[in-house]
Amino acid sequence: MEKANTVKIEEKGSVAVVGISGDVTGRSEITLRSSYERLDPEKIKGILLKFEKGTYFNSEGLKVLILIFAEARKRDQKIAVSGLSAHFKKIFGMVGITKFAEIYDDEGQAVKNLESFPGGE
Amino acid sequence: MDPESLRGKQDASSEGLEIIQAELDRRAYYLRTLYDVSKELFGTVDFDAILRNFMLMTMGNFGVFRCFILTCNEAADRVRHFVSIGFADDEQVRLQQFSCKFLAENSSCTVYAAGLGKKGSPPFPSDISLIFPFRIDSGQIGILGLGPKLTEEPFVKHDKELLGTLVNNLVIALKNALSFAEINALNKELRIKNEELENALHELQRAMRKVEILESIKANLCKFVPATVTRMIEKSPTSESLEAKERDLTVMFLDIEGYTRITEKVGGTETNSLVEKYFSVFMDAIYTNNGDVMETAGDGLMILFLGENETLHALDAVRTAATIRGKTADINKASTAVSQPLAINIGITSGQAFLGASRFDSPTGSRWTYTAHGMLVNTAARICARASGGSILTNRATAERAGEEFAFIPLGKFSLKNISEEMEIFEVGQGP
Repeated sequence: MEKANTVKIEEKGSVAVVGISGDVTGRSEITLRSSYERLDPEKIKGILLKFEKGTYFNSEGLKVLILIFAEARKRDQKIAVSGLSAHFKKIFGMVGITKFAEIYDDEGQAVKNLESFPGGE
Repeated sequence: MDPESLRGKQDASSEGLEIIQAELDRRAYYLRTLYDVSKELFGTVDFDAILRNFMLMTMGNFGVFRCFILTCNEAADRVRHFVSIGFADDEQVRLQQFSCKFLAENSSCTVYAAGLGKKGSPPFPSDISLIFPFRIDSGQIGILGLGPKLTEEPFVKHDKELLGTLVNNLVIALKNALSFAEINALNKELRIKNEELENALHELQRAMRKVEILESIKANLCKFVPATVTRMIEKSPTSESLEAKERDLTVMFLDIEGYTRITEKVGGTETNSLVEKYFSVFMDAIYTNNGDVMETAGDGLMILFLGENETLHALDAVRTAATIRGKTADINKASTAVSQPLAINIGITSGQAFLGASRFDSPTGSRWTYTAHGMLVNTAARICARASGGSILTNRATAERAGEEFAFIPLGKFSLKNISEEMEIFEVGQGP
């Protein structure tokens, strides 16, 4: 049974930490896109997508992420991802998502790097 | 082996393991993709939803920004479905034109990488890296187009193999959707037809009830209407067929000799039952020989024989008369109601007469009668009046037509009331 998504957004200066629980599939599109749209592009320059442990991504879910990452690039926002299993780290690399988003194991390090992004603080 | 060589071998071995692991990861991911795609595609029977889901999954799986799917008719000149992501409106129009042209020339299910279409095929749009035509059924084909990978790597052999498997799943899902739509349409049609049938049945039942009522009315009316008229109206309900026309026929008049005297003697009720008793037997003879009672008047009947053949209707009339004579004798023998035997006198004429309906209009309504009239009818009545003692008299035409079966005795020429010319009269003999 697919787990429904819940999203929790925490803003730390110019960085938004978006905590996402539940599997990421085509059905996640509305939740993830609306969460992303809530972030003020004038203020938020770095976004960390923090997935919970064991999150499953299917192809449609990856497509949803790709579209959000592409949008963020247009808005001059930097994106990082944490919480991925070793398997999905490889998959993200395989489909080219790593060209748009850096992958971190440590949330603190991810936020620190995002803050140091030229558009950040 | 020196430590350097050993380290080199370990590095090479470690690199090989990484390659194997990467290949395993890739295959596991493809397997999972196949499972997910199948689950998504077969979870719906909506054609557009299937195309869209497939497109999203394919894009995610191969990590591409742009993708489109188009389906069209066999001739590739009419687009049926088009979904795309990552293309502007004008690009979408251009893609549809390109796809139709490409399908018209490359409809076989082969993966084409950029620049690999048939010779002379339209060139790939620059933002498309891979084209995959597919066939849904005998009347519908389609094409999948993918933009470049995010990794900027080319589509390799195993990508194309996976894409082929995914597209096969897509085609099955689309066929299912088409079948479902077809079944739905048939069900809808069936529902409409069932409703129509139900309405028709309801109407039919109402009509049947009306027919039953009409049949009941008809059955009652028929008791009072000549069978000939009933048949003619049933055959052609318009009044045209009832219009009076001159034709050849045989007329028979029949009356009870001494009716007034008998009535006086035994009374009206007894006479009526006597008439019913005799005439009921006569009816059988009349109808058996194709006759029809046109008029009744107390002790008399006017019967017409209307067969197509002149000889036959004359013969029918004489046969009827002979049977009536025989039946009368039988009843007379068995009867005790009257002191003397009853005599039935009969006059028969064959020839031309007017036959048809006459209409009498009055302020209170119309009254229709259907009968024969003319000299032939008058003559039959006069000849009947002349008969006595249960004799059967005919004119020359009847005698000539029925002469081969019955013996006719010429009685000579007679002057009949209100008929200017003398008339030859014949009597039907007792035996054949």
